[in-house]
Amino acid sequence: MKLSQVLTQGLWKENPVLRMTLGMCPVLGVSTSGSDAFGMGVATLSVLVASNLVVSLVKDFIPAQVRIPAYILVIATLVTAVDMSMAAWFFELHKTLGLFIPLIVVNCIILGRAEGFAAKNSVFSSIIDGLGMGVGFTLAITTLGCCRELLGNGSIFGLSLVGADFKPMLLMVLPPGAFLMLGFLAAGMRRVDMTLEARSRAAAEVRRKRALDLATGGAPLPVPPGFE
Amino acid sequence: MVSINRLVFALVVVAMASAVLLAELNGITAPKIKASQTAYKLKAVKKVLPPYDNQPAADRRVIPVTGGGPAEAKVEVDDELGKEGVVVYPAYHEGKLVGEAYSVVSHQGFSGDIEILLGVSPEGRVTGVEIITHAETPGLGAKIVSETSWKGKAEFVGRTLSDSLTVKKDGGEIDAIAGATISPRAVCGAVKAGLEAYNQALKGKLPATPPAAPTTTAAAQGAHS
Repeated sequence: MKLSQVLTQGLWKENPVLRMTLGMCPVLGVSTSGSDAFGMGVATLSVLVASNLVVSLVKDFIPAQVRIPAYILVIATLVTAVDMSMAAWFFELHKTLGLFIPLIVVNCIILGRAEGFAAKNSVFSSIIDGLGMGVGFTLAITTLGCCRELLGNGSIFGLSLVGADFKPMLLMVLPPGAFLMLGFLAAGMRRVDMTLEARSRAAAEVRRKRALDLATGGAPLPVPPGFE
Repeated sequence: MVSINRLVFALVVVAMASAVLLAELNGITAPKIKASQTAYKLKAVKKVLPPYDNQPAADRRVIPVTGGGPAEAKVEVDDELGKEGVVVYPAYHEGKLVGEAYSVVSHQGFSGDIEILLGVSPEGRVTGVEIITHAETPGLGAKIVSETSWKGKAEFVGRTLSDSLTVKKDGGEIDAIAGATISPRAVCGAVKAGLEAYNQALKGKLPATPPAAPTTTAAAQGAHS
């Protein structure tokens, strides 16, 4: 696979949240507001890149039979390290996000990419894969967070966008809203894909017709001998 | 087939490496985290106390209190003073005690304890409430931390134990948060328990005048504008 493909597949085609529906626990739990969701996305991104890096480095040392516990150990260590560093150097951010950092351990995207990609690929492409998947995750969870915040609270990233007579759809910031909005987003993504597919099919059909016309000079296809 | 020794060896190496890394990192970060937490608390102390001209952190006292119940004044060990009890930060203005701040913990949060810092005047009136730690749901219960998302936080100011200290939903006067009544209710409980602790154990325990006359520099540093 080409590196550019490795980088971009996580953004749309294999988006971890909306396509592979991986890591639903933090996605549903921490998408109540745009800024929380973004913070969670960035924290996940950094752990994902680091775990892909470490796993691809040690992949030849770890026997296949014990790879899962070894990877879990690596991921848990990285998450704890991120948690402690954040508390030490970004205390204010840690105040709001601190609760969700330990949740990253149970995010199956991290283990999924360690197992599915980093364990089989070179260090460099594993980092690229971690970046692509992490950005895809961040984009998806932030979009979900913004949509829920807008409908449920009338604001985006804490900035109020609606008048005082706006009645917030409280359901959207409550847990069921996460499932509903996730469903709408995944369906919307599929819809865009279907439209693009139909358009490219129509374009291919037009090209085929034109080629046929050029070959036959606009005349109807000659009937093959033996079919009169 | 890989031998069992090889498997054990691989896991032991990974575990050892993780342990060493985390122990090292903890050694580096622990003092920084502690300092940040203290700084955060002192910022809250400044917010909940009325204007003062002393240094509450330097003048703090540890007062032994027996707690218990769903909410209680927070008993902790002050490493520097080497005593266990409620750590009280006093505020003096022009030589008179005008208020004191201390932590109260509620065990009735939606998810985990809520620690608040309560400012109380000598007559037992609330001078301010700040949330120190909580584990409430982001976007819902977590709104208790700021006045912009929860009006109720400012509504405690001026109240005494004989005033209403319950949320509107329970027949009181404090604003609740739509969709998250439990968190404001826990804060109400903590304020009430804090005032009770004040009347029973803390009132009159602090010297009525500052321990040392504030020098000009100290006044400038600690002054609350």
